[in-house]
Amino acid sequence: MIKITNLSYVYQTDLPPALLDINLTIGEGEYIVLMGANGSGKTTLIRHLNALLLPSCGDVEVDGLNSKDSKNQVEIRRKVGMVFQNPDNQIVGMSVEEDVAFGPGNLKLPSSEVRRRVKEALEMVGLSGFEKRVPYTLSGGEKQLLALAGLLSMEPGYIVLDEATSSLDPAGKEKVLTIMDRLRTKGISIIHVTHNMEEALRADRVILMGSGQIMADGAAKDVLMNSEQLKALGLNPPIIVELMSRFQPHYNNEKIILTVDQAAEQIFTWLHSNKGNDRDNGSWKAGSYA
Amino acid sequence: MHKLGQYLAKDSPVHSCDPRVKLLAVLAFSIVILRLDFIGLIVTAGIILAFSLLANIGIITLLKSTRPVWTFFLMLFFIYVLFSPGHSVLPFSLGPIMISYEGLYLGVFQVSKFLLLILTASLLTMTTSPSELTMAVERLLRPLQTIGISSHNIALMVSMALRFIPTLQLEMNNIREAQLARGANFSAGSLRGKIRSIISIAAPLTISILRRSDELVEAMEARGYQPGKRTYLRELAFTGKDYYSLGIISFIIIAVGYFT
Repeated sequence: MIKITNLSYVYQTDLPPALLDINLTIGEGEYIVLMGANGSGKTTLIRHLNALLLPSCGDVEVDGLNSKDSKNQVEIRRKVGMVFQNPDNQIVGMSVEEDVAFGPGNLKLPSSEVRRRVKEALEMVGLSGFEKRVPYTLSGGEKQLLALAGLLSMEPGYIVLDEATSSLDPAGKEKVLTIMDRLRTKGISIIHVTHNMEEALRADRVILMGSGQIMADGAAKDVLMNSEQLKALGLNPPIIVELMSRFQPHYNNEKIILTVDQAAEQIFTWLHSNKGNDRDNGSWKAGSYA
Repeated sequence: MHKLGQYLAKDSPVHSCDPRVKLLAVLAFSIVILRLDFIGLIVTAGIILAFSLLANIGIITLLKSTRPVWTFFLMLFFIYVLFSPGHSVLPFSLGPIMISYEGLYLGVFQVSKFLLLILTASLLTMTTSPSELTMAVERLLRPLQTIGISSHNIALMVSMALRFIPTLQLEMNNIREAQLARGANFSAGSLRGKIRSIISIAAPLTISILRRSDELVEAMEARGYQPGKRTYLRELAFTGKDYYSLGIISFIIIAVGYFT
């Protein structure tokens, strides 16, 4: 469990705090999406999770290890892996396998264990067979998968994705997110910073940040349905939520509608109830509008 | 086209030899080459050819790999030919510029020495991957740890420098194209204009390198990096075959050095 207590952080004393009195708990196997406009404090917050930044005030504890204690920092970084936006700047090895071996090498694991972890991590991200490839010959999506493999080889309990999918094409995004779904089932917690509302819909929990503070923290469906709050924080609500809100004055709707399938089903129901006499009595099935 | 000393993955006794043996052999050969006479150079060329064939690398491929330094060889040759005093080949001279027999001999001799040095180094890099070479440097420098110099840090520096060469080349091309799109002209203009053009690439490239290094340091720290000792995917281990190779190469080097 990651426990953040009264966390505040200032970059410079003459500037307003980048984080102000943050209290947060991240449990095992949770998939959390962290959202907020630029400058809201998301990146500063996640850099505290693996001791890249240390609190100006308050505490960050990862599985009981306080990040302020320098003896704990390497273990915290092993437990909390981080994938950054630009994979080019996180690949250090001259070959794919060497890059994946960098983390376990830092943990001073024996070579046999390093090789086992490299093999497993590459299998997990689907890069088996790429071991000897030179990283710069990989595509952007493959590089990001390599960065992910480098982190998985450290066998972390928590994975932080810092806008790691923002530069990927839809297929690359889907691949990374599918791997995340698989890792969740193994009890690994995912903390995903993104601006993409569709990605946020996959989360168990969405945290909204603004001015260095947590403005909302709740189930994805509750937070993402609140268009007003999202707009106030400089975020665009999910397009489906926006679309359905246009129907609201005409069709009173209590249902939570976040996905294309849910929206299509609801629209079909409305159409059917209005013109039921003119249409056959068919029912809507997921995917039938595809 | 082959770049200077670019690694060629092949299955050969030279490729599978421990990189430390190869690195030490090249260092020793280089010292010997600098002290050789003409006969010695011919013998050494034969030895390099033999190793090249043993490594499944054709002599043409090996020679072609030196193409980037041919201009340098040509310049060196002409400097020796034109500026060495001696007996003139032609019945006239242009002041101090004269083609002499001694100059021709020295030109061929010195260029051959440099060519053999480059061929030896190329043979090393063509049969040893950059990561093996880095590992060899790391292991050979380990004794320096007793005086507080970390071979792990040196190896990491070498490996990162090699790793980032293509990335920075790409970055430079991107900046160049961006400047061209904004009307920069790198081929024409006065010397002052050319210097300005170079600055227009160098300044953003430097900023980009600094930004990249910041992000890289952060990513390395996030992956638990701490200066000093670390472990590797593979540890180099001397086998019987490597001792055997070391013995043969030492014998060849001593023989060449002694008899020529």
